[in-house]
Amino acid sequence: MIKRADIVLLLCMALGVAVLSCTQQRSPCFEPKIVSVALGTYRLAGDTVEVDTFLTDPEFICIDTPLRQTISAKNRFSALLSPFVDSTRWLIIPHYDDSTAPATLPEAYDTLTFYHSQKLTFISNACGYAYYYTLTGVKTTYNSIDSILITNNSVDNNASTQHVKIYY
Amino acid sequence: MPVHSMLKYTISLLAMLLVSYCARAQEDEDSTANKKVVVTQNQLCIGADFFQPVINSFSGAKKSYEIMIDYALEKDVYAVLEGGFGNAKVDYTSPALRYTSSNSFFRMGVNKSMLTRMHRNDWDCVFIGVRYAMGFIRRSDAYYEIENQYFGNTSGMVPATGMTAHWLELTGGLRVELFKGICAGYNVRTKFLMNPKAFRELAPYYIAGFGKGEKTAVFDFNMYISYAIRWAKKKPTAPQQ
Repeated sequence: MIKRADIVLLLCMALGVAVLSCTQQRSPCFEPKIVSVALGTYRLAGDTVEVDTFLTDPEFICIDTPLRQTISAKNRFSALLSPFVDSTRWLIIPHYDDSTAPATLPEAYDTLTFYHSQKLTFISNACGYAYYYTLTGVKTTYNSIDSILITNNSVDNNASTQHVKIYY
Repeated sequence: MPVHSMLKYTISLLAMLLVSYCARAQEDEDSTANKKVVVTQNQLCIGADFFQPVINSFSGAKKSYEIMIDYALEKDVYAVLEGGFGNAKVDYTSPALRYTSSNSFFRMGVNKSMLTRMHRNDWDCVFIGVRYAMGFIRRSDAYYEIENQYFGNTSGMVPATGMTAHWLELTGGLRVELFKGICAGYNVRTKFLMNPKAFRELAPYYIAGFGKGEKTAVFDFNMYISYAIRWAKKKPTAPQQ
């Protein structure tokens, strides 16, 4: 037989749990809600070996928006994409780490154009929705840049992925 | 909480429950040394969860109601059928996410009592059990907003849809007869969603009978008050000469 006192004790515990568990508060969101294209700058040393290229005080400017970034990591930076159109343009002012190069002149600037499609993606009730992107192409001017390569075209909340390599 | 941790936690909890009550059962058994109790009655128990309405009264965002029926089979096994309904309302801001959902559900399975009967009217039990459950969910149009301080905010609507959830449960608990025919008890449950892929696109915040729709494994607790209907078993007819 089970004692009635057991039940009374459990009732008290249950009421305590009910009071503690019943309020609905939005959980904090730990996922990035705005995703970006991760870029890296390189140069070729020989035919196949690539090494990081560090730019000195580069600036990365999103054309058609007031967004302007001074890049702290000189060889790794990111570009946001517009959810309203299918292409987004960015301007790189490289400021080479080479005192002989005329890096501050407009002739050294390059424009990157990312072509993309966007997909509305549900992250969670805490974070809501976000746009993820698929890169369909990238074009650049070649004032300072030698070439450009898409290495991964899925732009989502995976922070460890590099999407585009830029060779100087 | 990862599924394997949850499973480990549940098994530990059920084991503790069993050990504590098996110890008590052993004492009871010793005192009634080797008496074999013959059950002469059938029992059908009809109950309602009174724990959920307590939670409902504190929460404006979700509601859930649940009833259960069980029938005593042979060898202290009970066939169990449970069902209920509920709803939830999400009204978040910054970024906005707004929708409502409602669902009904049923569960079916068995409980096995682990207590030895002390006499033929002893229907108290400490049990473990398994369930298979289905929930039928309806979500309204969902309004969302995506904040973007660089390019501007966007908003839109995801159309209403229906979903079906399947889940399995491991459960344990106890039930005691407080007064003649009036019983009370509780269940602890660990639930494992079997079709999480169906909830990738805006999982409902709350599924009555299951819990948070975004989780694949949840832990839950019910408290039931029930009424036992008992009637005499048919005596086996003597073989005709």
